[in-house]
Amino acid sequence: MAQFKPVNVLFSDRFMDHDTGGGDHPESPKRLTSILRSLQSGPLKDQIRIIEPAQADKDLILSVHPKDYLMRFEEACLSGRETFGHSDNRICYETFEVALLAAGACKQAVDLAEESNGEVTISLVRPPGHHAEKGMPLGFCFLNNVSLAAKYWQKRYNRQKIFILDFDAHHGNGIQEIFDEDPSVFYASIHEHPTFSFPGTGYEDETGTGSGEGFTLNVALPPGATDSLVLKALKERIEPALEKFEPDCLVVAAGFDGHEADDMSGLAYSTGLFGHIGSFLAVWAQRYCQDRIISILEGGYNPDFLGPSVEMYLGGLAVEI
Amino acid sequence: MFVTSYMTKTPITVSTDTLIPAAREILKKNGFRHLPVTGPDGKILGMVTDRDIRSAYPSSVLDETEKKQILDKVKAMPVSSIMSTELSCLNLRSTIDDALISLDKQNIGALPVVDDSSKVIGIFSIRDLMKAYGELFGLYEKGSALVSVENETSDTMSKALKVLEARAIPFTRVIKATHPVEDGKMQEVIHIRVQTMNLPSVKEALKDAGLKLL
Repeated sequence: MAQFKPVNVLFSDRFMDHDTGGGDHPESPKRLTSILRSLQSGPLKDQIRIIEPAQADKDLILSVHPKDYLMRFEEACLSGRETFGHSDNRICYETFEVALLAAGACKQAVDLAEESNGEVTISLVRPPGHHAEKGMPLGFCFLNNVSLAAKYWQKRYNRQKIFILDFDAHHGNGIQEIFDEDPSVFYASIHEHPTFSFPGTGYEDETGTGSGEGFTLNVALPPGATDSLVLKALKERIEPALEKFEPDCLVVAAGFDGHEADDMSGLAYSTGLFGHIGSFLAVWAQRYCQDRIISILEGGYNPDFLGPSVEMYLGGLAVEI
Repeated sequence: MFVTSYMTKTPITVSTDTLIPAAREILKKNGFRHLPVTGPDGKILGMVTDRDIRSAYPSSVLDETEKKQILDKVKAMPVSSIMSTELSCLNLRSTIDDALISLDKQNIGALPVVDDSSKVIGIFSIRDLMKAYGELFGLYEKGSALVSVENETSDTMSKALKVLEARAIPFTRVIKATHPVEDGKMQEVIHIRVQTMNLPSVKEALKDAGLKLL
């Protein structure tokens, strides 16, 4: 029987307080309920350690987002507006504070990865982050959690080379924009082709600009793509890039909306694929960065399949190699 | 829709007596491949391309003596001796469609844009053309995706747009097109570029209105 490493889960009930208005908005608190239910009842249940995060301080947020953007975001929430920047981006009075807490959970994940001895760490946060650009909310995202974690890792622990893998069904335009010209952060994304999918970015010829040229890798999959294309991309595109880059740490933008039962994308992944992705990452983390790896929740919108998918992913990451 | 919105304005031009090595240097330094040749009044007289210049220089297969002879000759040759003079120009009223047709028919990489007195006011390249069509189709629009429905009846387009308007779903492009499908048949399609991440909700609404999604 497989042995699993301890799994640190940064989670707060406060993440449920980001109210997206109910109705048909896909980014709902039910997502986290589904994940917790799976983790606390499945084979990982004895390994799970839930940790309450603390809010990120503003200085950390300012390492990615400009002050005027933060002020506009806070003002939008406090003034009772229901959306920020676009009708997709539903907010409530609590959203700003909850987003700071989510960013704090990602910062704390970095601390845990540094302090623990090869334990698995995931931040199960809402709102998600990878579409948020420096000065623009997009696609349900306000603060770019993954980018904040990467910046924090560099600044606090002097780990300069960060490799970000984003396997959400949608391209992480925000992460790409933030590090587009930065050769110290490699951004790799596997997503549905931008012609057919939000946010319309992530073409394969987007490879970084200026001194960041060659430090962005986009793998755009056709609608209907199944596990085999992802596994091929991991082996033949991502792994060589990782090997060449020689990162100090790995940050994973973990999105599960490529699942075949998730109608937010046209991709058709099985639940089992996420276990394989976890296994790849576990091997890479050990081989290239002395197990310094954190995962941060992005998308995944079908509550019936999100929980099992995250569980499968963490199982792949946590299995003793 | 007009080339003047996408062209490179006030491009570098050279006079007819500019020597070939100087023209080559200008192209190399600025990283482009087409150089309009103008008279003292700024009117277009010809175009010289990097290909014209490369052809003027000696071939690498020649022996050193022959190479030197040609090289000495080229050094003293003005661009007027190699420029194309049978020119087709774009003007203030040229559309990007005009540019596409001209560039395609003549199999060239760029065209000068002139005003009504034939003065060069810009240059329009294939790259500009791609950018213009990319923008026209909303290709570079962040936060959008294409949704396509089959154009089954005469009111399909209005039905689809009413659904989007009723739900306050932003959209920026609507294109009706005919595409070849299997067995040589053609299919009429309406492509709509919507600006939302909540695509399932858009698709559901279109389906509920009786439209066939592709």
